[in-house]
Amino acid sequence: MKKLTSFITVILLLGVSLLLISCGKANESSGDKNEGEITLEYWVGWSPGEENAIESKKLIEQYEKENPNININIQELNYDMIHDKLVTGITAGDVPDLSWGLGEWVADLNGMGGLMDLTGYVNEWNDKENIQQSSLDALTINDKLVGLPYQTGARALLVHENMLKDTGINKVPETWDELIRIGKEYNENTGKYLYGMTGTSVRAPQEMIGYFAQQGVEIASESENGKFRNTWNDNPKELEAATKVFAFYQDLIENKVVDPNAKTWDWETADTNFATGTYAMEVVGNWMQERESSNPETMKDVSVTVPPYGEEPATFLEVKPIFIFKQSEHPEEAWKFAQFLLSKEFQEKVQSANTPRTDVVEDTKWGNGFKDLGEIGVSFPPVPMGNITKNMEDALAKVIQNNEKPKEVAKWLSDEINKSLKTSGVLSED
Amino acid sequence: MGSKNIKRQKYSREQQRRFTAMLLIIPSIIFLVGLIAYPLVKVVIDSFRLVNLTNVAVSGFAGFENYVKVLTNEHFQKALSNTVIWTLLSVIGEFIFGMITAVALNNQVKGVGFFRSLIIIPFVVPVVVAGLTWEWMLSPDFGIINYLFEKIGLISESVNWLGEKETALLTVTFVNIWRSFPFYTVTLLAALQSIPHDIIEAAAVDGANAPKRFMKIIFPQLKSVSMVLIGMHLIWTSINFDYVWVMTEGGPFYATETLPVQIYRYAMKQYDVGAASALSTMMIGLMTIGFVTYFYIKKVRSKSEGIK
Repeated sequence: MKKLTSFITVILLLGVSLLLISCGKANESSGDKNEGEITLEYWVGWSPGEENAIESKKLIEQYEKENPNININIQELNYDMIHDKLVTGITAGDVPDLSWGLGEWVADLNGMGGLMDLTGYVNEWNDKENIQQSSLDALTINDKLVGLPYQTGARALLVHENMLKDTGINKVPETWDELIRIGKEYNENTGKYLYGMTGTSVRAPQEMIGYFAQQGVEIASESENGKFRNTWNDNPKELEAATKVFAFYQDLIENKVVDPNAKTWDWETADTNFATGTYAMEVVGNWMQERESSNPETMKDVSVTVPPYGEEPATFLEVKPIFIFKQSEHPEEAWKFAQFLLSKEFQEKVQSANTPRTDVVEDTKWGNGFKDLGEIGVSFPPVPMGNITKNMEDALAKVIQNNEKPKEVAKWLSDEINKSLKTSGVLSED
Repeated sequence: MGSKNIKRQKYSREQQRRFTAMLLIIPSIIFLVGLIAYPLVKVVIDSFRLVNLTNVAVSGFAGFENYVKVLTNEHFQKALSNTVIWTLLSVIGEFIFGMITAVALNNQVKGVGFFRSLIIIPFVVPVVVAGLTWEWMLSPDFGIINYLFEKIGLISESVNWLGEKETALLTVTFVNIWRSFPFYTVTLLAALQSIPHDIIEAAAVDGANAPKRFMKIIFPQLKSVSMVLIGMHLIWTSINFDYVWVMTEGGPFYATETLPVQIYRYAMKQYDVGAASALSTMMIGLMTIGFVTYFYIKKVRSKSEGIK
C-alpha cells in the first residue's frame, strides 16, 4: 500500500507540474507548426470592421505571402484588455511578440522588465530619419528606446462652424477667458453648451496634461539625478499655475460652458455628443474623421484649429507605441515585422493622417491640420502612470464634483503624484 | 496464469478498488490544487510580502504593512460600506422579485410557459452587454429611461443616474437585481412545484386565505432552498466585480467602489500586488468567519431543538 501511495503522490506532483508549466508557457504551444516556420503573436487595439483594420489585414496577409516562413497571429482586443493581459502576461512570462499600447503604459511595462530595448535596432535602421524625433523621444526611457511610434497625433479643437454662425458668433475662442465669455453667452442665447470635456476615463488626464502645459507646468519634472518629482508644492509660481487649471475647470461648469453631466462623461460619450452636434467644440484627436461617415450631416461643418489656451498654446500629443517584448522568442522576426508596420507603404495606406513618418503627408484638415499642432504637443513624462492618472482623475472629481478649492486640490495632487512616484521608485528626493 | 495468481495475492480486491478510485480522482485533485489551493496560498503569502510589479527593488517580508496600508486607505471605509449596501440590497431585492415572480408563474394560466421562458432572458444576457445597454438607457442625454420618466411626469428634468453620487450605487444595484432575480425565480419555482398540492388545498378547505397559506405552508417549505440561494448570492454579489466596473468603474468619485474594485485597482492600476493580496485575504477571512459562525449557530440551534 505504501508503494501505491508513493505512486499516486508522484502522479499528483507530475500532474501539478504539468499544469503549472502549461499555464506559464501558453505562448510556446501556440507557436510554430513546421520546422523553420514562425508564428508571431500580434495584439492590436483596432475595432474589427473599421477601415484601417480591413486595410491592415490585407497588407499583413501580403506580408505573410512575401515571407512564407512567417505567420502573423492577430488578436483583436480593446485597450483595457490589452493592458490587463500584458500586465499579467509579463508577470507570468506569457506575452505576445508584438502589441499595440498607449503612451501611458510605456514606463509601467518597462518598469516590469517586459519591454525590449530597441535602441540598437532603430539606430541601424535606414528609415529612422523618416520618423519624427519627438515621437521617438516620447518612447525613450533612460536613453533606451522601448517602443516604436505606431500612431502619433496631437489633439486639436474641432469646431462645428455652423453652430457658431447660427448664433452670431464669428470668432472661435483662442484663450480660456474668451472661451468662458463666449460659452456663457452661447448658453444664455441657446440654452445649449458650447464646449465638450471628459470627467473620467483615459481621456480626462490627457485633457488635463494639455491644460497644465498651457500654464507652463509639468506633472513630473526630471531632476539631474534622472529621477522625477512634482515641484508645485516647492514652487509658489508653479502652484499658482496649476491652481489656475483647476479654477478653469470650475469656471467651465459654473458658467455653463460645458454640460454639468460632463463631470462623469467618458471619451465615448463626449465624442458621440460632439459628432451628433450636441455641442459646438471639443478638443479631440483625428480619429473623429471616422464620424464623417457615421454622422455625415452633423460632421460636415467641422473645422480644425488650435485649442484655447491659458498662458501659451499647447496640446496633448499622443504617441501610441508598438511594443516588442523581451520574452519574445523571435525578436529578429518581430523587429522585421515592426519595420513593415512602420514602412511608408503601410503607413500611407493605413493611417496617413496620424502617422509618425515625416515623409507621409495627408493634405486634409485631418492630416496636416493635426500634424501642424505637433510642434506644441506635450506627452506624459516617462514615469509609471498607472496611479498618477488615477490621482489626476480624483483631483478633477474633487474640483468639479465636490467643489473643493482649486489651490487645495493642486496641493493635494502634487503630494499624491510624489507618493506615486515614490511607490514606483522614481521619486527624486533632491 | 501463475503471475496473475501472484498479483491477486499481492493486492486484494478492496485495494484494487481503492487504487482505481484514487486514480480516477487524481485529475480533480490536480485541478483543485493547481487552480484553487495554489492561488489561494499564494495570495495569503503575498499579503505579507512587498510585491510591486513596477518597482522590483521593493521586495521582501512586509509583516502587516500591506494590511495597514489597506485599512488606512482613505477610501477603504467607503468601499466596505458600499460592498455591504450593494450586497444586502441586491440579495434582498433579488429574493423579493424572485419570490413574487415564482409565485406568479406557479399558477397554471394560459401562456405561463412563454412567460417562464421570457423571465430567464436577463440572466442569460452577458454582463458586459447588459451593463453597457443599461448605461446607454440611463444616459441623461439620450437615454430612454429619462425620456419615459419625463413623459409620465416622474421627473421634471433628466437625471444623471450613474453620474451622481447620490443615485449611482442604487442604480447599479437595481441593474444587478434586474439581471440576477430570474435565477431565484427559476429555483424557487422548482421548489414551489415540489410542494404537494393537497396540503395547500386542505388548508384552503380549513379556511386559510391566500396570504395565510403562503406564510404558513408555502414559505416554510421554501426555507431550505431560500437559505442556499441567499447564502450563494451573498458570496457571489459581495465578490462581484464586472457589473460595477462595466457601468461606473467605481465612480463617480468612489461612490460605487466596492472591495473587489479596490482589489483590482491595487493590482492592475497601482501594480501593488501585496496590498491587493492583503485586501483579498481580508475578504476571504471575513466571509469564512461569517459562514462558519452562521453554520455554528445553526448547528447549536438544531441541537437545542433536538433536546427539547
